[in-house]
Amino acid sequence: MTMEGLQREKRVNVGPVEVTVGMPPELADKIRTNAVYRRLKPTVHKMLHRGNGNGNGDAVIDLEAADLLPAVPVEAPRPEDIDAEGRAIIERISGQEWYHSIDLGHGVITPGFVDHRDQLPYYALPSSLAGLRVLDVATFDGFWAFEFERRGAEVVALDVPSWTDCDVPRLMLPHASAFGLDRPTGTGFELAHEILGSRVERIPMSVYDLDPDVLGTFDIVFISDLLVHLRDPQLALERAYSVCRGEVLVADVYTPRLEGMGDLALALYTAPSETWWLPNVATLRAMMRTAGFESIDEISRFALEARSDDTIHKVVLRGGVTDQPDWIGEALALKAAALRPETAPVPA
Amino acid sequence: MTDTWLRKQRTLHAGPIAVTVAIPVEVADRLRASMPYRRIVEPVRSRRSTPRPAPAATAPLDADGRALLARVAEIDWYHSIDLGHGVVTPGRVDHRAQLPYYRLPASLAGKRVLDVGTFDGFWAFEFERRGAEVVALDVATWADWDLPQRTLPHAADLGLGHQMGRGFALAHDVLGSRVQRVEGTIYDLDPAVHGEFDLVFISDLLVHLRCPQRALECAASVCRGEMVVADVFNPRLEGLADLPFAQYTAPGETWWLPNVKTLTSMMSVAGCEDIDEVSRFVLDERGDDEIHKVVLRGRTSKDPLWLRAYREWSLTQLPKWKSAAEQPA
Repeated sequence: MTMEGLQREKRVNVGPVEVTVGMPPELADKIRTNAVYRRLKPTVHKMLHRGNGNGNGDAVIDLEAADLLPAVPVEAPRPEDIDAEGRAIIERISGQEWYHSIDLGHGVITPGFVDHRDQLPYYALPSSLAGLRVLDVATFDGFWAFEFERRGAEVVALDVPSWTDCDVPRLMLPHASAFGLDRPTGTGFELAHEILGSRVERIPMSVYDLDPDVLGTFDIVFISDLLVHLRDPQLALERAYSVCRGEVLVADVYTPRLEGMGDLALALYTAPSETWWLPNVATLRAMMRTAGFESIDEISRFALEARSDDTIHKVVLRGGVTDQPDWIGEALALKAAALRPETAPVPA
Repeated sequence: MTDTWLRKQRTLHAGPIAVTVAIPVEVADRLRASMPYRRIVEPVRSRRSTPRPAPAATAPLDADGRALLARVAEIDWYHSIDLGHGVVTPGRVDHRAQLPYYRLPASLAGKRVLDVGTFDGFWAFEFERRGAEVVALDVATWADWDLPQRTLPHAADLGLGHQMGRGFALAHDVLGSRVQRVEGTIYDLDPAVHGEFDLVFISDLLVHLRCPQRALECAASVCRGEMVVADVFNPRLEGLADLPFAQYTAPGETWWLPNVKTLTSMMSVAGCEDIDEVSRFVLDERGDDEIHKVVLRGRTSKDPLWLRAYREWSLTQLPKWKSAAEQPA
């Protein structure tokens, strides 16, 4: 028997049925060099690859919903354009490892792992958030918090008090220093906050601890690139619901490998790694609905601009709050109908 | 064209050539529901080999039996438990004839066993019968189950307010059991409170939990020996790519319906090593749906292989972070 992984594979789709033929490389080579095969190959190749337009990763955006501010310049400034103040800022931030690319002014942009700046339209944020109270969950270096502030909102930015408060497998905790988890959080945020002269309030708290009695409620609760890192994303959404009086924006990671399955809500389990669950979009929607959000709209899908070897696929979903979700009404009706005498015991 | 990745597949080998035919899950479901499949293929492939025990001849009950039957009648039973005197509780699930699927040791003498989510206590009493010292954990009320938080304000209307454990108390009393029942959730398990166990047994529970992963990690924290996870899996997600994934089913009575690979991966993250699949079968249950179960067994470790490997990898990355943090500002 041949060993797995040492097979050449060719896949053919016949209607909904997919046939994969695998064979050892030696055999494949023999076939490939065969005269008849070489003669037929171009025709067969054309047949196989006709109309195979794979739309994954293509952004779908409702541009009418996107009410845009003038774009932030995203090109790196030329060194000669950076003034003395800029050079002082560079000096201050140089020791910091950045997650977000943030424009600190004076031509200085932090060298983040992700750069949301030219992808802002995908989020369809209102140009003015004046008078609104906004919660940025898991703010990290604060890109979104500062962006909401720039648009006029009163912003509360939440982040875990320490890296060990991130959801990591319990067994990792005794080895916190080996995993670099014994570092403080928020050093980048503090720097950017100070340099920007921001008034965003940063609260060290896990999303799981959100409580309206502690923080009050918010017109917009914003969750981005977080759920994928959580062991219990459902609880996070339920806690987010508890402090939401208006709208939630869930801009999180999904896996296109589980798309195209109809309404089937599926998630890939990916631990132990930096992520726990990679859901499809149907799962994210079902989780939001279970948490109590309603009228869930899909705003966009796109590939996140990040310094990563993998393509990170994101979806932006928006939901409103409701006093009583339809599924609770259904459960209550079912229960009322089921109130019948209990089953009688049978003698064995 | 839908994504070609998630498909039911079957591989045939012809000499050195392997041919894999894959069809979308919807098509597979349609095929499975078709008449020829149900009439011909299913009976042949059926693995439901263990028949229900034939009901004992309905001998007239003695006075004790009749008194017991009256007490039993007041309770809605989840487990079928043989209480003696010819009385078996009318449970929704009957594990009795399916015990061989669990391959429990005949003797558990000298072992400390934890039955998580004991309900009426079938498993706890079974472990006790085999000689173990048993602790049976269960939630105090239905409302302590993992419910969507949005349902909690309606707990009373949804009938979730009443106390758990009436069936357990009755069976415990009648059987003269010494099993210790402890109230709490699986998430509360703590070696400082509950001590450690040679065997931690989790059955038909994870599927009802919002965070099965945390549950397994908490269970592993009180396990000094073996963990048996006999839980529900999703046969629709079997025979696809060899990857762990799960169906999200809330809001409803369940949260996640995983495939077997997800269950083993979760156990592994919780610290289980040398995970064995003991069996797969369809639960004997009074319901319309077929409930597919898998029994998995593993030994727990505080420092499993993946953790050692991950740590080694992490240490090679660490100098980068350290130097970044230590650079003068």
